Amino acid sequence: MELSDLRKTSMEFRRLSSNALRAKYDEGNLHLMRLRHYIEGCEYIQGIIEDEIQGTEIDYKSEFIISDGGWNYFNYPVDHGTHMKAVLDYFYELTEQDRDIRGEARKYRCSSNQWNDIVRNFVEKLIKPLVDFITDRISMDIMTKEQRNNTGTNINQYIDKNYGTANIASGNINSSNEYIINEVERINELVSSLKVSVEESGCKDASVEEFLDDLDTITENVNASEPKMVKIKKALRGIGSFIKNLPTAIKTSQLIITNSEELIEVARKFMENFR
Amino acid sequence: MDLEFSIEGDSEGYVQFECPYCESEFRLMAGEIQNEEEYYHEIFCPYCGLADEVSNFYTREAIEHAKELAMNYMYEELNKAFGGIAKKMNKSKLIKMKWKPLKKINVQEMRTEDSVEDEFECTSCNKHVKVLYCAGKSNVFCSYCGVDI
Ligand SMILES: [Zn+2]
Ligand SMILES: [Zn+2]
Repeated sequence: MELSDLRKTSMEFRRLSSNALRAKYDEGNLHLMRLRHYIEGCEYIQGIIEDEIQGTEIDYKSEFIISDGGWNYFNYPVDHGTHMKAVLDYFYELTEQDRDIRGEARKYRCSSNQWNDIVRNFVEKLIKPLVDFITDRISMDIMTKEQRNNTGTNINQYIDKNYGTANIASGNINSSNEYIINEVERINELVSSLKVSVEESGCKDASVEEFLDDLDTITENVNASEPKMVKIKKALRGIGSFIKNLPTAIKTSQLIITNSEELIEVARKFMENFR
Repeated sequence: MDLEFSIEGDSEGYVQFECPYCESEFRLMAGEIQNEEEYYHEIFCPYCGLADEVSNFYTREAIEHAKELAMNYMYEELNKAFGGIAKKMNKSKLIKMKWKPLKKINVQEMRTEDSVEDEFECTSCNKHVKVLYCAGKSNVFCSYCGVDI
């Protein structure tokens, strides 16, 4: 999908989700049905969902909805894909036809006794995790597209060339940790060599200072126990625009561009581990 | 009855909001959310990207503040009304009525303290939003136009 279509989809999806999440009892399941129709009509979102729930199995009626005799509770499965599958199955059942969802909503404990609150509490507990998940995936794709547009190169080439293939062999259960360690190492290497290149170029203007700050932000965060993705993302955007405006006359500029492009790609991979 | 109340921004003119969906807090520039040219009926949460009416993003403190102001207004009106009755009755000399004006709650000016949030500028509408970076979060949405920034 093109960047503009991704942005449009993200917006439409979030609007419909907002409406569904603030559902009023007298509207029944109207907004939930609209959201479902949108999801079903959007191949791209269908793809996101299918990727996530592939191979998962759960009987939502007995494993997701838990009843203690009085109230119902949601038992969120540990595996995220399984959780999404349960949400979707329940969500689809609720939207099979035009119906009043009060009967379903009142089975769940709510601190308020107003119908609107009861309905909203139920809908939120059920579909907010799904909404957040899809929103996040779309944002990730937007970010990837943006960076690709920014650097003007097909950054995927670096995956094969530099570290991707080495990791694929280690397909055991710890592979995702290994990926992260490899990525952090590679990011650290790239940042050090970029700093050297900048030093050698002799450039000292404000944009160089910002570039160095962005590099520091990235190493700081990828090495932290709780990396802040928004900071990394902001720094990556800064790096993207820095290399775009870098005068080619600078003697190390080609190296700076190549290394920055790889840094952007590896950092993006790194962030994907956390989603 | 229309009661107006104001909240003073932080040193950079930002005021606090709270998302009705995810309960996260963020800040918007007072002059941007409210000015002569534009009127925002709806805003987006910069964290979860969902939209709702601006009034549903008021913080609990702001709502408390508004309630206190409304109470004070009510007390004043009550004082006026009953004060008048008391005077009249006292004049009639038949009944003695003691009158003590109700005490007003001490409403402090609401002021937004400075914070550690970071400022973002939207690349499409150039407006600003201040958010706290939370671990694991990979993007920020513009509160005004709703796009990914
Ligand atoms: Zn939110
Ligand atoms: Zn904007």
